[in-house]
Amino acid sequence: MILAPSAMAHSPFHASTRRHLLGALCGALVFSACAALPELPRRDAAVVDASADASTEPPPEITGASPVMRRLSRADYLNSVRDLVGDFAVEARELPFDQLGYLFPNIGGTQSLERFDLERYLAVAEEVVARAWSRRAETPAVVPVVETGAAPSPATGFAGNGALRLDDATELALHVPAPQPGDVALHLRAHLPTAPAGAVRVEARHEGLLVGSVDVTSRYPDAGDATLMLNLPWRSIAVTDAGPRVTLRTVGATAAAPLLLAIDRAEGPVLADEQRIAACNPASMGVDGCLRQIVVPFARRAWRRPLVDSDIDALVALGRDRVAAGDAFDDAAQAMLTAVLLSPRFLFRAEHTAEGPGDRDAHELATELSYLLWASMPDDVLRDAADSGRLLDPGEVGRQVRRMVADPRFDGFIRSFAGQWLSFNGAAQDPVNVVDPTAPRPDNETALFMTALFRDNVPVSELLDADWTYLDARLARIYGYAGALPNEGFVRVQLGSLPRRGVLTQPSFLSLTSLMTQVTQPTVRGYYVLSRLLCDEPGPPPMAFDNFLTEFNNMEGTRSMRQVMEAHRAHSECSGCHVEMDPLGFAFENYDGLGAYRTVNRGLAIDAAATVPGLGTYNNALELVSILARDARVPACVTRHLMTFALGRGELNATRDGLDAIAAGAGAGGPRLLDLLVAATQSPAFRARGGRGTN
Amino acid sequence: MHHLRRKLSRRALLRGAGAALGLPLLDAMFQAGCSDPTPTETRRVVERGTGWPSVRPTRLVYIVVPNGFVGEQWTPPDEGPAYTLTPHLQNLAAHRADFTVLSGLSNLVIDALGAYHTRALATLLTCTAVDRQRVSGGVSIDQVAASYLGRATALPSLELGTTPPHAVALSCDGAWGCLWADNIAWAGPQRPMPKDADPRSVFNRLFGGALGVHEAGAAWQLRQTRRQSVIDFALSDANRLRTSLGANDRVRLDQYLSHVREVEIAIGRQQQLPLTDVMAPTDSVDLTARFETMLDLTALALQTDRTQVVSLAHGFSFFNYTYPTLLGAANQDGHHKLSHYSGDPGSRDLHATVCNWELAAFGRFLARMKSIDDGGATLLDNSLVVFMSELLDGNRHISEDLPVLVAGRAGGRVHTGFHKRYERREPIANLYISMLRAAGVVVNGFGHTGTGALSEILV
Repeated sequence: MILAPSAMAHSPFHASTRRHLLGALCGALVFSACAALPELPRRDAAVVDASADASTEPPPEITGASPVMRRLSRADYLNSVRDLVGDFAVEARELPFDQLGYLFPNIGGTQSLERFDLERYLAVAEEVVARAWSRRAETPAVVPVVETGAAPSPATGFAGNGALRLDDATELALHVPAPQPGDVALHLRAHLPTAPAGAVRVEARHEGLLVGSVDVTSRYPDAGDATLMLNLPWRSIAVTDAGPRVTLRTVGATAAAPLLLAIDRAEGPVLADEQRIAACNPASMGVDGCLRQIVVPFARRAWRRPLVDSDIDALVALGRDRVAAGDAFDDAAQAMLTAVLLSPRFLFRAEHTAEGPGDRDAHELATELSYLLWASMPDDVLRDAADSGRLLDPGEVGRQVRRMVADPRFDGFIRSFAGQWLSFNGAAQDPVNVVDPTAPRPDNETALFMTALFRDNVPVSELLDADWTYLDARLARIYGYAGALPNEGFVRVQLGSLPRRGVLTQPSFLSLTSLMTQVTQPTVRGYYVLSRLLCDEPGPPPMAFDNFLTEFNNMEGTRSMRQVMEAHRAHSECSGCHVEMDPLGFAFENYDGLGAYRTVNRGLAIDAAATVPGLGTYNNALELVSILARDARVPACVTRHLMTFALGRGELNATRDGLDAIAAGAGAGGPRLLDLLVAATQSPAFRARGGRGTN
Repeated sequence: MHHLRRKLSRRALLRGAGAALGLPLLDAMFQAGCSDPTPTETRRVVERGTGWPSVRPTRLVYIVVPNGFVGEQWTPPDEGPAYTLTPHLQNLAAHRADFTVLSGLSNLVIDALGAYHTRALATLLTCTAVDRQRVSGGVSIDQVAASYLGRATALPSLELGTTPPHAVALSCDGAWGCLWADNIAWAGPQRPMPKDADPRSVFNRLFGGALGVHEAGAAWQLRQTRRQSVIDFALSDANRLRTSLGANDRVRLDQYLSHVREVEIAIGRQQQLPLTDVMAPTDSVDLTARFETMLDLTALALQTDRTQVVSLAHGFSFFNYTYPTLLGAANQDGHHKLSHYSGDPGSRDLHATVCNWELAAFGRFLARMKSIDDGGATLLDNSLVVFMSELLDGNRHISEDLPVLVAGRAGGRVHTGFHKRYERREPIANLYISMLRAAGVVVNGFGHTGTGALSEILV
């Protein structure tokens, strides 16, 4: 069947190519096949000359300042499946990328969704459900624990079993090769040979962070069964084949009165009841009954609000139809659960915004509180407060906020808010994902510091001028800290006479804002201070800026970094912004690219004194942070960043979005940080549905 | 007897009427814009026959490398087919008949704004200005191509990269700078196309995972219908949800809905592919290896008809990689810094080393494309590949006179093998229009600067 010659003459095909074309009959098939294809989305028709039909109204334009429902960020998703079914095995790279807006990954207006993202969500949902299903009825696997490192000599007391003797000066290292990630229960037998004055605590640490502890009071000849629950952050560690490495230390045991310890076994993962998918038998309960029993509690928690009958019926119908189509019951049930995780009710923090302006209902409020404070779904306590309606009372909100800040899951806020606002999430590893287990972890220092600031409810000023921090042995070398520290693990230390105060003298900030150990970037440091702490971000450099970069490259050599930067002031297009940015950076020239203190660079003495218009004059970083700690713009800026993260949109208005009211600060140093968090969650802007604020 | 093969609709497949479709040459029964009110000029319908050369769809590839080149080592001093190969272009000497050098093309949408690098990559394929409130002003040309050409393949387009997006904002410009820095492909304003910088993930997307195959025969079919059920539920659930959402939220939900539908269609079209000759790639922290792996995956994706449109962005704005395998492990100067070599011959030579590697890698890609049979012609003959950077020379950050190569013949519809210099700041948008036209999609404008096709290129 060959097309008529006239048709061929119009085609752009090469005249010399012979071909057969399917003719009218197949052409009809082509058209009918096409008609059967669902409409693919029309792309932005305006750029194409082919004028599209204008029958549909143009959609509203979304910018980063628009209130629009927010999709779960990577951290939100990972934490949600962790809390939903105890799954720690999803890797961040399997999930859609976070698109940062105003520093944060959960700004509704900057989160688009493309097809590749859906493919990934489907794949991850299938995996998570499959793993959760396999854990339904099983008891945690029993695995041997491999002990490494110098073990103390065996002690008498236990018959055989290689009991070990521990006191505060010794450390025991283990690898915990659990078959699946999750919370691990370490079963011990531990006792004290003599009458203790009190309990001895056994603390477990991983990568320097405390991951579990248990108090031992048993005395010989009691058997002394004890269980140490290990909460191992599986995602952030370099896992070897032998499993994550954990060290045990005692607190309160001495060489004269040691702890005698034998490790029985480890079990993991340990799930809470609600994290375990219901085990039921379709043969006895019926297919529908069993499907219902499986899906209702799962969907209630995953969708973060009570289910209506039509939701339940639709889900059960999916499972039932799969069984009818030939699936095994297990596969049908898993299809149902996968659909729950693929639904926009899981992936988005959707609210009833069709109803127009108004306040969030209790369930929407619970969701927003938990993603703010935990970057995860509500737990049963918060859920109860929502179900009962108590959560609508601002006093109850305050109580919940304080409870949630004290909870270990508050780490979600520290990483998702503080880690992005202050960018210290980027201080952990280099961009090509090479993890060196012996490298210092400045991000952990700042994370612990920020956590303590909130939990201790200190004034905002202490962010800048705190005379304490958290150090471990690796960072102590950078600090030149001479105090006693454990071999592994962070402890809170006083800085004393060290030239350090607050977050701006921590290695996280200092290393992020440097290119290499001895190549700092004063302009970037200045920009950071302006944008993160003063909310006074300079605009983009002028067009000619990149041509000046060439001049800088030729100006290195025997000049100090400060002298090189003087060129910024030589060009009038540049000086306007650089007269603010650069001096802020010069204050930190005493800290190199690792964050170590120095007084000389390139053979020249460092001059850290400067003046910043509108801020003040200082001789060094410590004086600068002291000035910043008293600057009223800092608490206002902290509040702005916090509310941007909380509401999910940028360009906030200080009055309409209540920033002034929230930051209305008690005494000197501005509002206290936990109080600020409570005030933010009680504010009308936060209570308003859809993050719309009070427009 | 001609062996006719037809691609059937998803519903026909599900009813079990599916025909076995072979690998790697899938016949594409293609109708541009079936319910499109303005169908394109070309309706390409192909058939595999014995002894008859078939007409294959034109593949479009967009490769962007950052930080430019050494200007005088790129631009040939003379024009025409006998132009002199400059030091950079010497890396492609074996293929000089297969590509064209275009000088003088410009992208003048960003002159009024500063921060060149940040904006230049984001606007290179969109030719639409950006400002601080809008992420990107428009759709990139590869997505325009995909919206017309993408319905025939499992993936409408493939976006590749060698670096994942910035996970932490440090000195990205303004509220949006990180998105500009990372993305050359845009589905629309505010909508960067997620790029994949992980070769295993790309391979999985093409041949495995949710759209792929793990089991044989009936078990596989059952899994696919199970996936369809899950997706059908997600669609109906989203429609239920939609009634309670306001206008802004509906925009988001509609994005979700449209993509879920696309995934549904793709699953329906997925064939069970024997994976005998396809080897999963390995990854490396060495970004030169990753770039070359991405080029290999591009060729493979095109060869196996997984997609017709590919974009590959190496790095991102201000990409300052130190290239340890090229410049030595002790090298501390990043590529962005080296590209500002000014009068320093040492930096210039290091910069040139990186650029020459980029071109040599591109040359190996061309060789691979030429070695693949695509219905009687080579895969390169049936493709159009543009290779460029967001500026010509690091010492001058202007969007005029961009470095551009176009390789391939688009099935005989373009001329190759010469150097042409354009004057009067010819918009690069016109090159993009030309490429689309050669692929059978007629657009008369693109972005803010496109006016029409370049006559010198098209046959």
